Amino acid sequence: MANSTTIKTKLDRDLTPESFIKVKTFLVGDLSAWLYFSDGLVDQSSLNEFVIKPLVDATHVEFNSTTDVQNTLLSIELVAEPDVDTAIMAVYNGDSLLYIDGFSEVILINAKKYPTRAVMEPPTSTVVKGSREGFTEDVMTNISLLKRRLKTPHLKFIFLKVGKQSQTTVCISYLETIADNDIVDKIKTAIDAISIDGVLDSSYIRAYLQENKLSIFKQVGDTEKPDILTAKLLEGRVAVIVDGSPLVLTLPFLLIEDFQSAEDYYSVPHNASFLRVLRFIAMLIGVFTPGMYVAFEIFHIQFIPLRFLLTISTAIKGIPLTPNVEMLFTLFVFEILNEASIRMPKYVGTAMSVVGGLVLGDTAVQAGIISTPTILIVALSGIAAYTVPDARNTISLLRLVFLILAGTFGILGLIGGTIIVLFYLVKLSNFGVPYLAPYAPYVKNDLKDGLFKSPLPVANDRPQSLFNKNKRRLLWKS
Amino acid sequence: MEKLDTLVSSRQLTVFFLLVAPLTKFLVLPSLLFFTASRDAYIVVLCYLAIDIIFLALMLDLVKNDKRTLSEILTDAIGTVGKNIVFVILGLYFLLKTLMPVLEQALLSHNILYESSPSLALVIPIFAVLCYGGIVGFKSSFRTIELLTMLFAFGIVTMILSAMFASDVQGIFPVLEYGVSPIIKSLFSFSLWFGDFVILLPLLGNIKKVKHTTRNILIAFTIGMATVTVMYIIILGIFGVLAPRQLYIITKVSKYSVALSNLGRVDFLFIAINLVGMILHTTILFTSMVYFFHEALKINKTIISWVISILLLVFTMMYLLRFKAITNIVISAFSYFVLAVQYIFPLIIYALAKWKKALGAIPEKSDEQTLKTKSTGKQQPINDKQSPVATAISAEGGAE
Repeated sequence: MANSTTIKTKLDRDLTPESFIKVKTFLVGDLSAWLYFSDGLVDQSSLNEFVIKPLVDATHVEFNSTTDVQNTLLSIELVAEPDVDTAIMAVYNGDSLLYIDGFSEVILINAKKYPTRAVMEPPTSTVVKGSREGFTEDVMTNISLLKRRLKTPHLKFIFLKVGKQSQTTVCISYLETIADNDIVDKIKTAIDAISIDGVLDSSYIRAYLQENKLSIFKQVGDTEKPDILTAKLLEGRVAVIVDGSPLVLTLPFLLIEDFQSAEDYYSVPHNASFLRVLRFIAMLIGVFTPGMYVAFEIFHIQFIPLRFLLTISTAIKGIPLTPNVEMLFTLFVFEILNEASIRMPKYVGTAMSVVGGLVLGDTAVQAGIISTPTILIVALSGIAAYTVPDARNTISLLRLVFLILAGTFGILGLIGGTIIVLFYLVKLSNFGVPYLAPYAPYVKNDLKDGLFKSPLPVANDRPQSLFNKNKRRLLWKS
Repeated sequence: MEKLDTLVSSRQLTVFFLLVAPLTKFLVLPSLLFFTASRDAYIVVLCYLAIDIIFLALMLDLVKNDKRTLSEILTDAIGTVGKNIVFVILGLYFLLKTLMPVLEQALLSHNILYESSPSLALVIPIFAVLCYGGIVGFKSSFRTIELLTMLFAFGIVTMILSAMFASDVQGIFPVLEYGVSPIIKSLFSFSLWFGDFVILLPLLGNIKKVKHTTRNILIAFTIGMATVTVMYIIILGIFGVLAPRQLYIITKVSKYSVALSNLGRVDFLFIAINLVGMILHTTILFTSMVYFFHEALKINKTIISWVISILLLVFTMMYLLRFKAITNIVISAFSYFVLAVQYIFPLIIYALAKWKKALGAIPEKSDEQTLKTKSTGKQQPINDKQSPVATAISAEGGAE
């Protein structure tokens, strides 16, 4: 236990105005007291009203230890901290530190208050029907949104601090009666092992939770919506909530999740099934169409029906570029436009669309640099990729790879590339769960929520592909 | 290549025998069989069905009643040296089994699929798949086959439907016009394209069994071979005496389909689908080759046996491509070797497994106590917690 001189020296050394720390000095009885807090992270009126005022007014109390202080300040959350270094870190994290001269420990007071964004509908997961609440950057707000949906003592939270400089709060959440303990432990161990200066977003943590670090395929799920997260926790998954990020991570992740949308569960199953199959076909169109078109045009003219071939040959007449270079160029322009329109402010983004889509495209065709079928194919492929927004980047990369393969080897390049990607995907696993389950390997029970969705009362069991303690989801009341 | 534990499920094998194994019999083989056996080519297929189903049943009996790997069966019976010799021979056999489909696919691509074909460099994507398949192992190939089940079913059904309406089944008559000798000659010459049961050899002791494994696989195999027979009859009905001249018959069967004639050559779609199946089949054969060389040479690093296998395949292929009648060379030079390894080796292996067991020399093992690993044969305790997917698959069928 440190003596009072050492404590005061440490506090004055580490909690300085240069670090935006304020100090209020006042008397508690005959003793000098110092209140340290980080300006901007604390509600100063609460400190004045519930800490300074009661202590200054308590002239009849003899303060000999932190217990006396705790007995006096009943209206605010506080805790005695014997370790000064820990207490100093807590001040930078928003806690206030009270030190009374002669005491051997300090007191940490929770009077945090900082600006947060309101709960609103996340732009990445808008729905026509269903909840419109979205996570914010504040971890406590996110936890409260979750707790409001799962009113059970089995909902557990493990808090960790990650980032040497940022000291970011990372919270692992799971339902202890359903989630597998081993997976929770593995995630905790993986996060504990992270040694990094700062964690600015959940994507920093995601990079460490991916079993295959170099993969272009997403291996950690994410959501901005509490209703989706609740459903995933109920299936036995584990959530990782990171302070400062509205994107909550979920594990283990299966590829099929990219084709599922929150709205699927709020509409009739037939409609949900139709939309899921549509997304899947759109994904195939997004990945393969440019490659197939180029392969057909260069190597397999005989694949194209005659009348269609005549139309194409008229359109491509006089184009100076080879089909694969033409397609690569157009895709490249498309990606530039896409990137620019996302980064631009909304009003400029609209102008960008007009300039890019209409002026640039039309001019390029009229100038005879690119053909109309190429623009059509790129547009179709680009739009199709947006039906699976979470996999858009992966689709873009695969599209490029397959285009190069098709332009070099034709249909065999496409077939070979597809098989190699499938080999890779069927081998990929995520915390012991095969990435392509329930299709490879085939798990009959989980097909009820695969590409085709069964009505909710039929899906009695939790996904068997996942590790979970309690397989049964639905029990009928007799 | 990864360890073979909890490797291939019986469902994956069922799909393989039902939908993938038949595909390899639709490229060059029909014209060869029609050339040798004339109208009775389909009878040759039926004969192979009858022969192969017996061998498949024997292999499945080993799968069901003997939990040892092939390496363990042979080591127990003839010692390590004997096992290594057998494995080298099996490796060479699988080299031939791999070689022929690769050549067929390359020549199909070169002659039919490409309007303006650059060169035989087209074979590079097929080799890339084989190489990657050899690294990732059996599990990836079989899981991919399982994943594409519906696609393969679509490919085969569309192929049959697009051809059958243009076919005159009366073409099969008269039966046995030239007696049985062409059939017997065909049986001796074309065994390389049959004997699909051999893929069970490297998988012995590593097949996840569920209820009715044996029955399901036998039924799947029968249906698969019946499909081949039906297709041969359809081909005969379409092309008649010209059938032997149709070298890549799969690309020609739908030529006369009225339904497809207005849509262009959309039949190339199911040709592409079937090509996927053929490449996957070849990958499994190549992976078997890597497995046998790896087990025989006992090199620590699998990559070395993998490189040896690739080099062997490339050099053999380059050597054979110098000749025009590659198929004839393979058939005439290697048919007896193929026959011996394909049909005598499995019999001997079966007899050795049963003989040693009957003598009581091999202690009985149970799934609950041990799980075998591929390369070392060391016993490992099964983890208390099984993969949830494995549990789910078991729960669907229960133990046989």
